[in-house]
Amino acid sequence: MTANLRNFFQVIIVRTSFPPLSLLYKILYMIAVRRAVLVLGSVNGVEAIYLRRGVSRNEIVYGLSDIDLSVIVNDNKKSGMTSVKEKVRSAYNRLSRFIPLFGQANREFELYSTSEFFRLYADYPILKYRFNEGKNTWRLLFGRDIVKDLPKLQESELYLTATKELEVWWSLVNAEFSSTHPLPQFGRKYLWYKAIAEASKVYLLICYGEKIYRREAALSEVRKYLNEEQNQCIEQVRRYMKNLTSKDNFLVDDVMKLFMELTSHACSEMERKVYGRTTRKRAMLPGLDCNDLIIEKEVSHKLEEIERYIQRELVAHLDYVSLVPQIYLGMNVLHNSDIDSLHLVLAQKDFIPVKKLRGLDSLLGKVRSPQELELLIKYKNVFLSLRIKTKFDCIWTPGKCPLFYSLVNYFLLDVIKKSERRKAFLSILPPDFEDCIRKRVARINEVISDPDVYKMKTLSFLRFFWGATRTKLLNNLLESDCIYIPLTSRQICEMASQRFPENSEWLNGLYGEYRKELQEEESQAYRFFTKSIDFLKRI
Amino acid sequence: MKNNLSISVIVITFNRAKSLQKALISLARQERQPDEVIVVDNTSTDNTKEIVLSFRNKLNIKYIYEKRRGIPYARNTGVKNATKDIIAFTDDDCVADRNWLKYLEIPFIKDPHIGVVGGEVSCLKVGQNIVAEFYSKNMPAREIE
Repeated sequence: MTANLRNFFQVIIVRTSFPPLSLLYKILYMIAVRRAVLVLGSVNGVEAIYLRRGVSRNEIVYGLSDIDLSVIVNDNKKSGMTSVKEKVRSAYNRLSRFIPLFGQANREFELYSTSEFFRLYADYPILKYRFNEGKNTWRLLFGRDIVKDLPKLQESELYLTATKELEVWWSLVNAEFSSTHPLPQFGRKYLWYKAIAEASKVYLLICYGEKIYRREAALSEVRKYLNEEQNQCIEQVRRYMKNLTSKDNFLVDDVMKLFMELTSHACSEMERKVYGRTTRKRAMLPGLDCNDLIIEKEVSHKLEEIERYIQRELVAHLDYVSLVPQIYLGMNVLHNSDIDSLHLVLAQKDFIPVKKLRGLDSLLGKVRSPQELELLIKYKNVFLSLRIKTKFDCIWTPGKCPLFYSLVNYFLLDVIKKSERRKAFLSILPPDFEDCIRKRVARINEVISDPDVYKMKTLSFLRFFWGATRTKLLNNLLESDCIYIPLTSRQICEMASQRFPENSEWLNGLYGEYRKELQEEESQAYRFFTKSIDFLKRI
Repeated sequence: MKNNLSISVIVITFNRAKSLQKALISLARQERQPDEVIVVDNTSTDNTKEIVLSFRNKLNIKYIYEKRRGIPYARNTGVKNATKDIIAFTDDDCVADRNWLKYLEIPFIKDPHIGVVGGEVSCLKVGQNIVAEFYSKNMPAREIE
């Protein structure tokens, strides 16, 4: 069904959701669920079918709520030549084609094998949180209850994973900053209702230990912890929900601010409860000067425009502006597109209206230069990404990325522009630093053993190379009390040359070619592929 | 690291002295010069030999006469006489782009697993020009997006 037609039907159904039609819609949802159980349950090898999210909690908004299903299948069972998973997926595709109440197959439908289900629970924080919540909210429609067998979470794990849910909702409400894909008014209202309700659930869980699963209940409960102004906003959001299609004013700034408040409190409390007592290694971060970061023409031009916009529109709302190198050593950014890219960080003194942030975002535009320029706003103790690349990496807190925090406080916009060299300074490392480095080394070794690594585009390969070299150098230093962490490709090149002087000449040659690549000049960097990969294998 | 690979270019020809001359001019104008050019004359009766020899001061060129008629014979003779790391084939009626050898060499230097490379073949929009018309008769038409 086309998006326009779907929108049209959604509006009609939302507007007519009152008795007796609402009863009809309820019956339609029930029939659709039964049909799904009949069709999917008939596939040999299906172990369990669950109903998830709004519909399972009886929080249905007819026309807007999708029927979200999770299907868990037997690990090894083959049904003819086709795997059980493929059979279930194609059955679901047929269902969703004819019954638009089902969510999109690639986004809303979850299909796991039993072992995969347990592995994902162990490895992915957001799924850990959601599956764990599923113990109380998912409705078993078919088969045996597998969710109840998931291991129990410790409190600290629960708090940590709950903040991932905030990241998901932040990434969804981020559409507010983009003028290219605006949602229809009723869609925005519904989204904000859900976002505030989910943020309230996480806030209540982390700050007060209250496990509340239903959205309305969370919005009622959270009111007792909020001030008058915030409570008015909660009421406003509930009114939106009751009257989704009315043409009343939509106060996006108020709800955005409330979302940030809830997020900031929840993250602070999580930091205190999870990271508060852990001992951490120290890191030495080198100072930077203007030669360290390769601010090529496009970025430089954008920066000038942005600076003018900040002076004109934002300066009254800001404490300071920082331009910092991107450094993140998590597992999910192995591609290292962050090398020599920049974060533009706006620290808010008071809340910046969404309209103004939208203006700033439009300045950055669609143009993607070889280096990324990411935009973050600081609200109290959290940094929130405005141009989200990775859904689960868009809210930054001191415990999660202390290196970044040190940099933000240090490298103001002017430092990069002046050629003044800064001294090195100390920071603390994230608690999972060593684990991350070891996992990354294992992953890098897999990548460089695969002949496909030679097929990478030259610039992507070079970014990978500098990031991988940094990781491998750090891996050799894990025993030290204080670890020197190079931030930019130039510093990585320098450190590698010092530790392996026999490679110094070609490493410097490669660095020169890399700079040419970034500036879109003709380079000979392709000549260094074999040598670089051999080097990574050796160090 | 394979930093310096050498390239032999093989051209087989039969009675096309005029177009062969253009082909050799394009080889002489390559940004990345060929290390040797082997022209296999497959029993031409025109002035092919003179044309080839006239390039001696512009290219490291070898003239080889293959009396057995046929493309496979001529190509194999060319390959047998090639002495460089990479063997590149072009035809006597082709004018090579001046970056042809430069880009042809890159994958070999970059990736030690590569044995053969070829250019992309695209079928142009039907009716656009004579090339497209020819291919539209011989290949299923697929427009370039």
